[in-house]
Amino acid sequence: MEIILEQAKLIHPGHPGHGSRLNIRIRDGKIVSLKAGKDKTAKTIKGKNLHVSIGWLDLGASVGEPGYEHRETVHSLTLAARDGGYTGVAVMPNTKPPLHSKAEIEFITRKSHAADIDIYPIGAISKGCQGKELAEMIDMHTSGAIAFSDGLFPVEDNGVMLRAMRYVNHFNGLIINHPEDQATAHLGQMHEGIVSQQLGLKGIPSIAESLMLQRDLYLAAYADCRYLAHLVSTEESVKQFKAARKILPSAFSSVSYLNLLLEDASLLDFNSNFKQSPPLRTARDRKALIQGVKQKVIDIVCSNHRPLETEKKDLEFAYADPGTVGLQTAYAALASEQVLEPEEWVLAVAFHSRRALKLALPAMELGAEANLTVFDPEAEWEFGPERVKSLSKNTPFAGKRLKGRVLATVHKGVAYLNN
Amino acid sequence: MGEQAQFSTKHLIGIKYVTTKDIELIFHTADEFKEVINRPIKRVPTLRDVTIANIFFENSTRTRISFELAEKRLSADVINFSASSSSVSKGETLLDTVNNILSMKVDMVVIRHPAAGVPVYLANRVSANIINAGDGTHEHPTQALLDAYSLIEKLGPLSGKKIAIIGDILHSRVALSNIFCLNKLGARVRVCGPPTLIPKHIASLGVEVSHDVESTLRWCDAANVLRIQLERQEIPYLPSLREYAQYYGINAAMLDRIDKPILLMHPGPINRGVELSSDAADSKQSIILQQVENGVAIRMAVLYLLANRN
Repeated sequence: MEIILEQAKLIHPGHPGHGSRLNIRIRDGKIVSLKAGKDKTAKTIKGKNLHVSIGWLDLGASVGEPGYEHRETVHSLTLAARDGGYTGVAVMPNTKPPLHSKAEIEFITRKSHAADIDIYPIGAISKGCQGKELAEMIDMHTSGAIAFSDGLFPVEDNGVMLRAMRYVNHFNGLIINHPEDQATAHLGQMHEGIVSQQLGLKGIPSIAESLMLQRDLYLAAYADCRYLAHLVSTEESVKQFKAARKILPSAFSSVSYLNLLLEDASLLDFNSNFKQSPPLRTARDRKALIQGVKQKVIDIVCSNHRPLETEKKDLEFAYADPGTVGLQTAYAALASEQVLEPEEWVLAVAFHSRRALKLALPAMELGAEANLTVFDPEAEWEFGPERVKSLSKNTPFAGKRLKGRVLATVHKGVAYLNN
Repeated sequence: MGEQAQFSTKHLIGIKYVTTKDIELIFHTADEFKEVINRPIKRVPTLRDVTIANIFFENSTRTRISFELAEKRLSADVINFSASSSSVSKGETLLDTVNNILSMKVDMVVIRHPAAGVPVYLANRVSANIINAGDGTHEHPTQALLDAYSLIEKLGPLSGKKIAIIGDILHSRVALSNIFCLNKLGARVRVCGPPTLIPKHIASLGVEVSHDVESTLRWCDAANVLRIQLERQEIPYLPSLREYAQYYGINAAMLDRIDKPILLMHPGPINRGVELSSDAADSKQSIILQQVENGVAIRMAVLYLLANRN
């Protein structure tokens, strides 16, 4: 199969063609031409304002396999990811059983071979993701675990975290932690502030994040460990991380796209689709996070994809699980509100995510296997129910018109064209 | 009753969702019902053929009885459903439970639930009028209405009046609804209690905060004393009830010391000897039993006005 991306603006800082409009020809999954100018043969992808970049890689999505196949299989995750522009996904270990030993890691890597995208398992830091005993991280690393995290569960115990950070130095591994001190966040349902006060809901104060983030940064410095502060959500975290970066060059940070887009006021009518972890916070936090991404203090923007069945989501607010599916809407929802420039987005989802995971960037040159995402910030579309590829439907964007669309991805020799 | 004014919403979810005009309309209507319930024949046919379900997922005695009495005084058909006798323990969801009840052609639902937001959840999904009888730590609108109504009876219009809410503010839906209601009626509100039981952001609702009970009593025209809700405290916020009673409890000696006639209120049930000593609870300053009486009239007014909207 041969396709041509017509007049696509290349977003690839460092590349000689960065920012120029190219006609990119792909044959049998390989880039065979990178030329400016018109070309009228083969299947052509056009757009009002076509853009192309190396394929995006989402860090920290949840997959249902093994154990929660009704929420998401590797196959359905692949479909959702490609529809949203991702050619790679690093998945969290919160499965059943968790990805906490060689056997589960190999299960995911085997599944990944058959998938049309790259799926990288993140191994658990602790057995059962319970934060008590270290899991066999060297063994998991050898079997293909790309990094280590207890995923949805922040590692509470300082000693466990310190030992994990030192242990992965064996292979210069990456420790990922979502900083939220559970004793301070105790039973919180949303951001603690004026809105939680009005709703009578117990809040998660910003300081719950600051406390654990600071601890993690101290420990990472002490252990000389590569560390990712995953899904920071507060203005204070941006400040803390900015200061830490000067002395911790191998520390990274990520944010959920929803925290760049929405605020705690979205919860005023108790819509559980807006119940998130980390919680949606104030306008001030949101602005600071956006500036954090623009100034590259926050490296990575994540979809925070968390598929959940209706029975876990369409419930009384207090009983609903936090999280929403995000792979298909992360780009479009942010583009609709013009939160980030295309280059800022591409750096966050394609370049920085790979740098944190020590993955080589796909080559954008003649003869290279194409690993591309093609998107159009001007294209309008509706996220109707028939478009949801995930097995779970927990999204606040169902039926919404969005501006900014992924038109195609090319990877592993397969071109996936969105209709 | 012939008034033309209509309630602005289909449901009574919380005081923050209604207008000051709504509140005034409820009070005006309650005046008339209060006259009715003091007649020898206390029943009126106003809600004949209206079926009301009282669905209580949390223990309640006085609120449930007060609603039931209000419904019966209005000649409504009443069914009662409580979590202990329900399918909830068998794993049925809230929505299924309520839909099952509604398919028996119920017109109005009075609901109490331990989770904040449940009346909103139901109002978005079912067609009956929803009346919140207390949802978690969110709102308890009829309690706030009867409290304000009782205050107005004694103090006149509340604009500029100083009302203190004392006790466990953190776990109290009564406090939240009272603050919204009193603010709408122009009163000044101060909350008072141990710092761990005062929410961090309470001042954002336009209230003052104090941790000194005696000076708060001296400041106020009326004090609404809340129950220490140990059952809602999933972790200890207080070292002991003994210490609470000693430093935050109100007794007759304290009331004498402030040398000023203030009103004492309590939404009940009282922990006698903890937040209120018996000599304070039973003093002349206490209007606790008037609150209970007014509760029936207020609930009759709410039911009448919501039914009248349909």
